[in-house]
Amino acid sequence: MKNKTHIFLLLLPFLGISAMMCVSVWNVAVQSLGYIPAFGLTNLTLEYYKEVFRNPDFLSSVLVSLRIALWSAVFACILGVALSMALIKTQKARGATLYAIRLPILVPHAVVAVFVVQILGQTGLIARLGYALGLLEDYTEFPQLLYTPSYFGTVLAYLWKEIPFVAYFVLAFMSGISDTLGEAAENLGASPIRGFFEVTLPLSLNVIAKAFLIIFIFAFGGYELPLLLGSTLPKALSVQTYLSYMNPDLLQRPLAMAMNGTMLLLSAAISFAYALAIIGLNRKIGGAK
Amino acid sequence: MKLKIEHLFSGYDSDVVLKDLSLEAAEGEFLSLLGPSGCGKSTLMKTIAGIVPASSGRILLDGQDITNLPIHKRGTVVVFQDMRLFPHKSVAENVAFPLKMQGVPKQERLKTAETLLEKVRMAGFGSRKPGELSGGQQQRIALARALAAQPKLLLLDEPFSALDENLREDMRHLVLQLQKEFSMTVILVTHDREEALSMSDRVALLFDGKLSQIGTPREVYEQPETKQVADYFGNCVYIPGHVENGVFTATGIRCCASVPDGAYRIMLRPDCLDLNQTGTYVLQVEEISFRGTDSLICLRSQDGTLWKKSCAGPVALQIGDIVNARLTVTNPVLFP
Repeated sequence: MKNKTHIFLLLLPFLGISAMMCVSVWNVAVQSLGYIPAFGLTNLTLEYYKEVFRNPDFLSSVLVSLRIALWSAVFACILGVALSMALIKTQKARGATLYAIRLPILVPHAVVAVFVVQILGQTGLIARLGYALGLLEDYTEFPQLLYTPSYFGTVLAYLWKEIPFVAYFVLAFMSGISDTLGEAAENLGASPIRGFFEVTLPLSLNVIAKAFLIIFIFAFGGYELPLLLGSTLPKALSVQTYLSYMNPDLLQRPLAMAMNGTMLLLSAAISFAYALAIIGLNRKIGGAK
Repeated sequence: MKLKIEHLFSGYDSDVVLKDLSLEAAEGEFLSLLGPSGCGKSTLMKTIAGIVPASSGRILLDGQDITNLPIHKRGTVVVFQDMRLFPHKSVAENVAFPLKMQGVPKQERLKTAETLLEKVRMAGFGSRKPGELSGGQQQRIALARALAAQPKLLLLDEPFSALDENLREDMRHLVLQLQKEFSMTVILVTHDREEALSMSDRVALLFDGKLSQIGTPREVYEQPETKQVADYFGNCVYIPGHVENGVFTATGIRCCASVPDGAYRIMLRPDCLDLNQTGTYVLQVEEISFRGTDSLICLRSQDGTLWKKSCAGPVALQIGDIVNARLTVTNPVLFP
């Protein structure tokens, strides 16, 4: 009995967060279908979703957010795994290096945005350095990396934070694989690079895929960086949704919720695709019946 | 000489494990590295394979200095205790892996893998994944995979220790059979005395990172050069006495000895003790334990020495009986 109480107490934070999430999802679902009695809206309808999908700006926002999420996740994973492997091969996967890797993870996104502006802006550190060294005749010659429709600055800011995150996330696992099976591969005649691609990488895909999903979903729904470093148009989905939500015309609230609902559905679809991919991967790797 | 190790120092960071170790193994020889846990036998094997870097000294394989060569260029292959089969590859792909690294075309390497699987009596298992196999089967696959690499030197790192007794015997037999068939030079790391003595052409005993003795199984067992080696094989009895004019004398013992005169202790094993009641060495039975195939009898001599002798078949003795045993000493081993 005491044991059951103990388990329940330990589960309380999880249950609390889950309950909050369920209530939020329920609110999004109900309000996006046009049911907000406080505003006099009581008829369930898909009209708001239809309106959202008819809006070309919204579709551009979806594409922008998907692009930010995809580039951030892909490059963070590639570079994070490369960093991780470099640390393993140089035997620096422990101690001070590990603490150094953790630092960027702890820095808030808004602060990262300030860093990026100060370093990569047209009046930023690099532009000033180029100007001081005589490489640029004027600051404006420095390429415009921020506030562009390509969202290059946003992706760079995500990479600054997420490359160390991927390295930190996969390091222990990859190190374990490399120390045992990677070593076995080299012992059987594989060069370190061949051993990495033949054994360590395939066996680490499961963990790398987890890191990919976390970054993808986060960058897809992330608000601060696209707002602070992105262009006016097209807006990222999260920014567009937030602006709709903050619209003084409260009757527009279901529209904002339909955008949120779409974001939620897309995230769920991506998570589902991830789950299917992982099941397939585990089947290929596992083998045990 | 196939393998020659000269004044090797090796270890992990500041921890020096191997201290000035020199060793040789001949072409086609089966050499066992034997010693207690932490004596450096696995470190020596890993240093030969290039997994642990040598601090100083040289490792020569077929006359070529391989001390600083990377692991994959050494031509040595380790069969690890934990097998280390690749879980994402099929059994056939695992066995064919070294050939893939050598650039052998797919069809050819899979055919070789099939032949090797037959050699280790695992034909028909090629399409399975390692996770679907038992420990003994996985060990056979690891062996086949090592053979596929056609190593100049095969290193076995306690490969049978995780197997049960029946499987272990089976694997020992298979390894010896394959070693002869492929005329391979093999180094076996083990702490199992019986395994080392029964399988090897020579046994090297390591203590505290140093080579204590190397010789044929009979030499190291019957003629240990140090008390440490003698004790490692166990079941030794030391009886004090003295040598005078080339004759060692102690209670109930008199034998020739080619050492200078002085006080010595003779090392004896229970095989030289004959409990036929016709001798002059008096013992009293303290304990009798039935062990199935034999019985273990504990006897104490008048000078307090405890003997543990196993006797086959039924034992007519009772606890407390006095035995007039005969000691037969052919090659006495004396320690100061």
